[in-house]
Amino acid sequence: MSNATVDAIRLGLRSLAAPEPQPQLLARILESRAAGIRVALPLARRGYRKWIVGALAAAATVVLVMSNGGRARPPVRTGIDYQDLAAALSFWPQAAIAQQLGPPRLPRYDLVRHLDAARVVHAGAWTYDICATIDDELTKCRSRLTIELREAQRGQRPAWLMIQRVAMVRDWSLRPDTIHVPPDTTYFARETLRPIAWSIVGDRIRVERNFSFDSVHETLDITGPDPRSWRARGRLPGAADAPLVLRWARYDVVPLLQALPLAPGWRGSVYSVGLIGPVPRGSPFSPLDMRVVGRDRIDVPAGRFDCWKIELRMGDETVAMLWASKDRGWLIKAMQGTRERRTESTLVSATPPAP
Amino acid sequence: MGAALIEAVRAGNPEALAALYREHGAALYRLAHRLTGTREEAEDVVHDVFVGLPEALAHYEERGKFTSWLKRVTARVALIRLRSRQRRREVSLDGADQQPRPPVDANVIALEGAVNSLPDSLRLVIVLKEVEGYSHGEVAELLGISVAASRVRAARALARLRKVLEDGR
Repeated sequence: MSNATVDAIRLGLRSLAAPEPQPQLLARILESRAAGIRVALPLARRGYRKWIVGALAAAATVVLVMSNGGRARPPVRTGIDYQDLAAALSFWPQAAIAQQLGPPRLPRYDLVRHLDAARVVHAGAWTYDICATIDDELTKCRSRLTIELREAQRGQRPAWLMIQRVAMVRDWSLRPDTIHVPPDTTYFARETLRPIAWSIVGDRIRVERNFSFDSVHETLDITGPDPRSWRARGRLPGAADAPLVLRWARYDVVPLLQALPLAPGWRGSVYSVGLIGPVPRGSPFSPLDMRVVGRDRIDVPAGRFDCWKIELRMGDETVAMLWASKDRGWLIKAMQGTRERRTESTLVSATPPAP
Repeated sequence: MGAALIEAVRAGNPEALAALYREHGAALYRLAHRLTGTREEAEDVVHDVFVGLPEALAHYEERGKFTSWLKRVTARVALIRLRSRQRRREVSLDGADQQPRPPVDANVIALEGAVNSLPDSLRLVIVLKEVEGYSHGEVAELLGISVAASRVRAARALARLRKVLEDGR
């Protein structure tokens, strides 16, 4: 290749035009900041040169400040549609909200039974930041989950009432706004942590499940331009006093963790209940296998906690790692995904506060 | 870039962030667009960079030019998004790139087409080296490759561009 040709190409490359950003981009940036979105930027490359390895070990942790102390907030959407709801249900992988095809799986470990949950589970409220990280380098935090657990009555029975609320800032629209996903409400039997009733009720979606000692009855109604409904009933697996986890309720393990006898080497399985309909041949029940794989002292915005590290598996797949505090069994951190794309939830605050 | 403005951005002052955007936003957007190839992704990159800037500035040590630091951060964010997109095998449906634009030289259009036809491994090197003016050392660091690989890819990219342009005549 002659020098003249190369020079001509180089000159041409330098004169290539590129478009200008849209005028709304600055407003979108400022509104995202005001809405509490935080991004941890990649400031150095990872592991390619020995002399930067140490610096890269200090991965940035970002705190999402959704409560913005009186600053003007972007518009809050109240008209939740089905896509918004589905987008917010990110804790479990796709397989967890789908039905399990093929023959039912068997639990890997002994089923958890005989919990004395009424004695060891305590009411409270826990708030988590949910952040996504790409390639261990770019972290974006734009969702906040609050879980409230309190004593209640359901059908004359003592129960735990657990309410999960997710607020998610949509920063991909030109005017970032905050979606409040309809609250996810579950009543559990106080002693066994077996669900009694569960519901999500939004403007255009209503999903309910009611449990008897041996079966679950499910109703789902979506209104709007593409209305859908189903009614289904399923027979529950396992013993009638064993706890169950609802797969579409992402943090149902929160009360369960308080009641489990976690210790080095502990392992146990609980059945999880997915959607019953509308696929007729799939099994909605799949065992969730848990195992204590280690202990960690971790720092999160709510403080420093000595934790059990727990592996959650569904079939052959590890679906999440959880860190539960040794003293109370609080869920301190949850992590799922791969190095390429990882979602992390960390405890920001707790009421009553950590001892 | 005034130290006072950087300090104000670091403290979370939105007016200061807006001033910084007005000064650097367009150039960073052009860099992001050249690397990602789409308007939508370039805007997302610049959005993420400026949203993360106040906290990131805590790590800025004010050695070297601020503009260069900002461009390196932007390039890294763009490259992360590009890798993520490649894994998802997404195809751009960015209609905005089809918007009418002012008439330009036919040679420029041909060169643009030739650059866009390069595989990402070559396109990224040639864009960073020849369009953005990075050294091979800087390109190597940004892309996680050796300096020698950066030189080889740049030479291959130039050879391919020459062939594409000659075949098109």
